[in-house]
Amino acid sequence: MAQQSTDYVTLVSSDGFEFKLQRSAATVSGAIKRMLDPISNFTEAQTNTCTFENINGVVLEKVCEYLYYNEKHKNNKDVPDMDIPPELCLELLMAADFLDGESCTAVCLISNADTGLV
Amino acid sequence: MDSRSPSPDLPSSPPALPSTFPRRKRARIDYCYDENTSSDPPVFSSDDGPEASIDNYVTPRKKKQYRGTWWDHQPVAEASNNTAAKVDLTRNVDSGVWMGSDGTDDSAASATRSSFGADTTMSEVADLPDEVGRVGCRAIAMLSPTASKLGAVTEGLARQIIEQCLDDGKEMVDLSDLSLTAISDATLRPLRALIRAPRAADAVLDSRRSSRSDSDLYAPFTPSLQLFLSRNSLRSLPRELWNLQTLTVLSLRNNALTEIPSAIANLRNLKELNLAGNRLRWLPWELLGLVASRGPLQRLTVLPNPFVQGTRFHGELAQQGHWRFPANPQKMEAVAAQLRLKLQHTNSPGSQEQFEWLLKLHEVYAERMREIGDSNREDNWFAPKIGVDYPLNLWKEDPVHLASTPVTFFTFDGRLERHSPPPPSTTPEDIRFLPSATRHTSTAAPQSVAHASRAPSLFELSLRTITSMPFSAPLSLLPLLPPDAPDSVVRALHTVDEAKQDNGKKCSVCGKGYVIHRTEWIEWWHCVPDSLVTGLDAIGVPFLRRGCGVKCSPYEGKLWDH
Ligand SMILES: [Zn+2]
Repeated sequence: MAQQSTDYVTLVSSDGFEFKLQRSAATVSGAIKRMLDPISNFTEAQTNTCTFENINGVVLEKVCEYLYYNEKHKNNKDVPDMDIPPELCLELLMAADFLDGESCTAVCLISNADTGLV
Repeated sequence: MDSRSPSPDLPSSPPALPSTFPRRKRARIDYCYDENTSSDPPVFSSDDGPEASIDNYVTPRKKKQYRGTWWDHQPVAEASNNTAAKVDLTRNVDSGVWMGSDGTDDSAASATRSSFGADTTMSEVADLPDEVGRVGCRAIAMLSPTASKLGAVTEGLARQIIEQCLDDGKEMVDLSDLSLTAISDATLRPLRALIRAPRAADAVLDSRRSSRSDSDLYAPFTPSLQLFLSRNSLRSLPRELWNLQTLTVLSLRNNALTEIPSAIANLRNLKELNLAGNRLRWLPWELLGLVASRGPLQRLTVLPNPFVQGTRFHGELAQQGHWRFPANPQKMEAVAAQLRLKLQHTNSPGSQEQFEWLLKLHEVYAERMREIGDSNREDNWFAPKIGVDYPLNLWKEDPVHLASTPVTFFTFDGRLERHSPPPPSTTPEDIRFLPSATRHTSTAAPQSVAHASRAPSLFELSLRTITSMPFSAPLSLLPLLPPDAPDSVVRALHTVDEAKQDNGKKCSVCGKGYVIHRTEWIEWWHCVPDSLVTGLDAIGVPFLRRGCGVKCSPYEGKLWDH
């Protein structure tokens, strides 16, 4: 039996590390949101678990830190930059590109899309 | 059923990252590169595998082509001959359109144009070539008159002039009329070392005579550099120009410039700037920070240029061709009232717009005059009386914001957001007008903007980390990417590289350093501090503005009122 959506979701790294975090924080990432979308019928949505074949534990830990940082500061002015270790920046850049997907900080400007402006 | 094991009949989500990172490379990130690899952007080849070595990306620095004395550059000069000729041709074709003011009409002050907006009265002093200083160099040019047309040769000539100025400790560097098509960082760099010729005897005499303090005694030794690059064919400017902190006068008049970078804000001592007669569509918003009470700039000449317009002036106004502001509070209020009436009785949106622009100006000025009146009533040093004109510098000096384009939004990796208007910075040359909104007609923020996070994206944070890495050129990280790294990541590294060469970019809204801009729009400002009469084309001058986050836009907070 498939499980219902839960408040917490699990992110699993390529080397088997598991991170449990709040759904609201995790779904800021467009990619995670799509994976966990109940109507998507992805395995992940059924199990409330996302496995990332190419993100290792060290990088995924930093990703989770970011997701909480974003949740904490989303309405704050003067947000301090989160510290990123230089040796991780390229991997985080790649991970961010994947996770942000189409719309991390989702700006879907106009709801009726037929304005002809691209 | 174990919740961790997926049921086999369900499809899996899209695959994760394109490929694994070349781990063994990661350990080799070298933060101390050879100088040569960090300077000129290498051409990126997306075909390079993880085996690609940094050596593949090392291209010879352009600088080397010019090393040595200028007469050693015959081969380079010949190579650039064609380009130089082509540039001249294009310029001749286009020049008639906006190169209205040439060297000849410097002194012809037109009554309808302020010296601050249009190129008319400025620079009788400033643009006067220092012929004495250039006699030697002119002689060389005359020996080979045809050669002076060649880009590299003329740049060599520019170097000679600079060298001579350095030797003589002369602060006025006149590189105008040299047919320069480009000027390199290397040519300008020596100017950083310019020291004013010591006039010790004078200074000592002065100090005895008027018992000056020590600081006065030393002040004359800090140079106030004046650089004239007018009447060349420059299409772009070297970054080094924005590092010349001692610049007080800069003339770029009558070139072929299409952009002034925001780095111009570095020139904190700039008193005069002439940008007239170029191909500028807008100015960087940061330039406003140098103007009037905010900065040192006393003369800014920006017209003529093919600026994008935010409104069309029609009817009576257009026939008049200019606008005259009253100089005292009563008249200012009266004109504002008239404009309000006109606004009510005009039905066409186009006409409404022009009256809105003018009304905004008169309301702001009336308000400023009221404040001056209130604050001076008591101390009586300047007691305003009915019908008395107020000095211009008290109320007209600070620029006034008139209208803005709608905001363009970009995704975290710098692509245009869906349904966003095209970025104003990509406006094609044949488009003269952009849609604009005044404080009354501007719309509320799109709902999704209101919900967007204020925190920078993880992508942006990673890029900022790369910017702050000491000694490493962002482009040298390219070979460390997996072969199928997405284009967005590759593009981002190029963007970081440029940002780093420009000493970083600052958000025009929150002031933070950033890499990828998320918002962009144009603001039209009235910026004619020294005249009551303004040509219609100078009423609103466009300034390009960018923000670091979705929330850094005019939809947030008080960008409308100043
Ligand atoms: Zn900002």
